Amino acid sequence: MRLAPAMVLAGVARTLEEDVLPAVADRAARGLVFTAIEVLANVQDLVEWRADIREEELSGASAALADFAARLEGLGLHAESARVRAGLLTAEAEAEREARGRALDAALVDALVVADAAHDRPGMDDAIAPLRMHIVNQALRDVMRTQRPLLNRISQG
Amino acid sequence: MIDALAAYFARRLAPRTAVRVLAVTRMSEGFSQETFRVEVAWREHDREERAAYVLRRQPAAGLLEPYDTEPEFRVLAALAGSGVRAPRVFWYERDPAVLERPFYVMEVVPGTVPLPVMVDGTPVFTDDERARLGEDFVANLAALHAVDWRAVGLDFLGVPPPGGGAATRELARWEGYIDRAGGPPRPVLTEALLWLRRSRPAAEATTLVHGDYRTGNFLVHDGRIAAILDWEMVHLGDPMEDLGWACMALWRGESPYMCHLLERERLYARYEELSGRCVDPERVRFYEVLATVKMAAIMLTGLHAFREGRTRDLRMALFDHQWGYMAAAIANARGLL
Repeated sequence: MRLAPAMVLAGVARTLEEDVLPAVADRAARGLVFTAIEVLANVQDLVEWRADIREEELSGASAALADFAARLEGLGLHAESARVRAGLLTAEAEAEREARGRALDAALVDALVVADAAHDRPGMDDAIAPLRMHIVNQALRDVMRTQRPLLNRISQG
Repeated sequence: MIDALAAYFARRLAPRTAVRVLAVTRMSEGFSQETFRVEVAWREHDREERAAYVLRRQPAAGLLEPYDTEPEFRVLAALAGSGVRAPRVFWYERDPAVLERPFYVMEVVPGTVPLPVMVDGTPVFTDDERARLGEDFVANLAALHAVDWRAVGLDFLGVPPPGGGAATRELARWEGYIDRAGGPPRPVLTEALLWLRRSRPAAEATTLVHGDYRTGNFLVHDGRIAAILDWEMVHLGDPMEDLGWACMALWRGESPYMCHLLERERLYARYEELSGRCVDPERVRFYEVLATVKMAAIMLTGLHAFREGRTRDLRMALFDHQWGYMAAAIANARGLL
């Protein structure tokens, strides 16, 4: 999840008010729609994504970058290793969690560019394994947390 | 809206008289363009006649912004009489005075749209349905790729340079969408993009490419494919691109059948038989990875429009929490899972 919870909840409230309410004729149901809008307006600034989940993601990213940097060192790619370590250090210096998350993702992207530039080098396929593992783990964590999509029902109304 | 459409249809249906719009119903299928069913009545030879039309309007913002619906209208017009089952189109309207944004009008094709998107392994079709629809699916694709696009005036779509030009152009197109969508860095996307840049294949031919050829984009009537829909990503390119898109895991969930219709080997074999073209699995693989990147680009573009408040369509916000599925699909296509 990357959108701020307040933005998502404001979008839900707006949809209820502008798109759902005009199609609701029953007075009691309309009252409940207004109730939902008021509830959303009052909780949207009080919620944030769960810190423990985000911290788990961030520590996984940090570990992958550190491991990759060490493997680059082992391949004799000192400048590349230093670049990856610098990205990691910069990211970890961010005090605010979301800023740290964005910086770690930027460092991961840069590390992938480093790996790509040296993709023909013997041993690079093994060296890049921690980054790939992190990418897969992150995707699977996100999938595990996501409820089954209702796309068919959304499409069919 | 009804008054504006009544005036529009009165103009289009002249010399018929007393043209009235009886109902306009927004259809819920499709996340991109706005689609309406319009019921119209008029007087002709002292009798009241009725007909229904489908109207597709360009949205203000969304998944494929900036929008231009005219190319797909021109392609559909050019496909009339070809072997491809596609809806007949009637009129294209650019004047914003009518409905604020451009739209076109086409026939109502009877049928239903099966929507097996991201379902578990439960079969969507019976074996019998699968056999018939799978055959129609490949036959329409082969017919589409056989269209002599120069002869029917479709080179306006932009002819890619020979060799790797088609792959380069499509990759650049979707990287452009990703760049414009902005948002936080996404390592899984970068990993795939770097691989795609290094792996661009040369096309053996340039054909018309539907660009969104899958279950969910065709109408089924009496157990057969009655029409191929959603032509908004149509372009000229490598025919393997449509196969790669159809093979994307997102369209089959846990099913072993591509688009819930055919095993991969069967799809390739029937396509070769019906099209006379060789399927190059490596090129299909490139386009299958590109398909996931393209889908990600579309999701991120919708999210961007929502984040900026340019659309109030809440469905665009779904793509935020569904990113995990997209990331897993990209990783899977890349062989990382």
